[in-house]
Amino acid sequence: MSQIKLQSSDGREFTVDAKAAKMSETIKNMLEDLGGDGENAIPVPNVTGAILEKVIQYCLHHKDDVAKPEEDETKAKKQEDIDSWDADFCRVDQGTLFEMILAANYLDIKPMLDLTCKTVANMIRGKTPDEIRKLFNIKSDFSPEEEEQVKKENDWCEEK
Amino acid sequence: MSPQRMQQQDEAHEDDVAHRPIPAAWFDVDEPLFDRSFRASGEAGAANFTADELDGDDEATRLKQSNASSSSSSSTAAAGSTLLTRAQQKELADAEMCKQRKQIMDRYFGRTSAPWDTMPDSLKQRPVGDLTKVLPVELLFIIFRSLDTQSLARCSQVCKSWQRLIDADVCGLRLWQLKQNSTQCDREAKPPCCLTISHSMPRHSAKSVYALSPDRSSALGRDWSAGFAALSTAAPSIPLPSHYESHQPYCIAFDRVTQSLVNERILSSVAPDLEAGTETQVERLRASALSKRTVACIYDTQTRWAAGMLFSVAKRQVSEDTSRPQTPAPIEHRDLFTDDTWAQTSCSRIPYIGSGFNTPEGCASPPALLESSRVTRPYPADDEDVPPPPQVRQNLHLTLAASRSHSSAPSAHPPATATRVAPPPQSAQPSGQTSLQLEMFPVGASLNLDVSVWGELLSVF
Repeated sequence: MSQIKLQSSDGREFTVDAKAAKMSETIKNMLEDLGGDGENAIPVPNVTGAILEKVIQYCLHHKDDVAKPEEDETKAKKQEDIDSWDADFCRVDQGTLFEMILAANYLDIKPMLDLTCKTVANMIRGKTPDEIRKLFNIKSDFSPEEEEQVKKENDWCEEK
Repeated sequence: MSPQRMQQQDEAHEDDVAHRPIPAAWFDVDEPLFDRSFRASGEAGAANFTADELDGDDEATRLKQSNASSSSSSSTAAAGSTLLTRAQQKELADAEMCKQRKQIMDRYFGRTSAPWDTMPDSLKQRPVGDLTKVLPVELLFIIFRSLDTQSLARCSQVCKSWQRLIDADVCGLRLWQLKQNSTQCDREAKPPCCLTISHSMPRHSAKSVYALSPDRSSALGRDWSAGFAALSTAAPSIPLPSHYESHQPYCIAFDRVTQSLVNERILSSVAPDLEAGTETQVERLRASALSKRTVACIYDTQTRWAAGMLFSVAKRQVSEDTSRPQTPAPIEHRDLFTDDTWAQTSCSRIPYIGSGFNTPEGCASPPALLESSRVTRPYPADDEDVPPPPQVRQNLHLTLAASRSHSSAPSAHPPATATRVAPPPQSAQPSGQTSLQLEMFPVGASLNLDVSVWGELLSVF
């Protein structure tokens, strides 16, 4: 079985290389349990066609990646860890990026989850609270006094 | 909506959808899903398996009859097979396969998500913008853990929900931060600056020690040098089997150290038996003098490594300049393990077993030795708890052998404290040796302090 079919929540069907699809632990386990025949589409509820397409794109690109040894979770995750293809891959609007995170989590594709979460972290890194609010369209619910207080509390880690 | 609330809703939703069946349209029982070879090889097993699970079902009843007849004897099996035609058996097997598949699908998707067409619109149309309203908490933690301390501090100023989220994950963030620091330490082949506990405890018992790593990018060094730092320790979260000893958190305050006053006031004192959440004055802390629970630290004036922890009232305030004792700064004591309102404390926890210095994992290179530091009693007593001035000042000279390898064997001396030190400055003592001068408190103050810095205590005067 070299190809399998995935069906997104909106009914779109994708024929995917099995190796790529098995980057998803969820699908991999499901195929093992089902003994799938490749003819019947595996439903992937909660993932729309557009997002599933991105997921498949990622899996196809990384399907031959050599499995890295378990990365030390303590290792600093830096922006330069993201290669150019991945950076381009994640150059999407916020909504899509969040959906990709959810899909990666749902389908249990750890490298993609790491990548997308790292991308969001990079969006936040280095920004001031105001810039973060603006970025995510968040309205501060601190009162002026509270804002002053919380700023004071966190002042110690600001570069001066 | 708070993350907790969102999580509760998500959990409720998951519970709700967990029992929702996958739409039957996905598993059209009229359509054979498994190929013939699979059926041929697994037909009997599948039939036996599903018959038990589908009790009450018409098809199952028929299947049971078939199984019962097939298991009794070959003759009855032959008779049983006559009950169902071959086409019926095939149909039955296909139906069972479909049910199995449905069960598997339910198992995979039922608990994690609802079918899209059965999901409420509110979940279909997830808001875009505030990621805390879009992503589940566990994913938010993954994101926040990728951030440095400064970014986290800024995130906590965004809004209340972000603040709560970051504060709620304070333990994880802190530990992660610490591990990260430890890794950096390893990369830079620099040992961390460690605090150890002098404690009258049985040897080979265990305690947790909090230490700062020499992350110079951190603002800790600056804060440290700017004022007080305080340390709170707690028993290890995972008690060791023997000699486990719990104790109340206690605190140490460190005096302000400046470049120009290298040897001044490194160590303040310790207030034993402080309870978490209580407040005390720095001056009073000093006044309580050293006890058996002394926490020692080594401060390197060149690299500004600091041992200790930043905090005080309002979670993490560095106290005011204490060079003026008339304006003491309050310090609130918190237990690092039990009080999760602390945020972004860039300290690490290393195991401390027995007496001596234990290097954290990953920081194997032995540290250079402190050239000379003078630990003095900070300020004149202005409190009734302050012990009287020492009649005889005892200078404790600890000569340390730089070339000696670290030994975790307990010192021959009773309760010991170990400290880790910084690279020696140029004006260091003769190679291989260094000294640490400690101005001792009165004899009655039970200063049980010795130093084993990657080596053994050679002599105590």
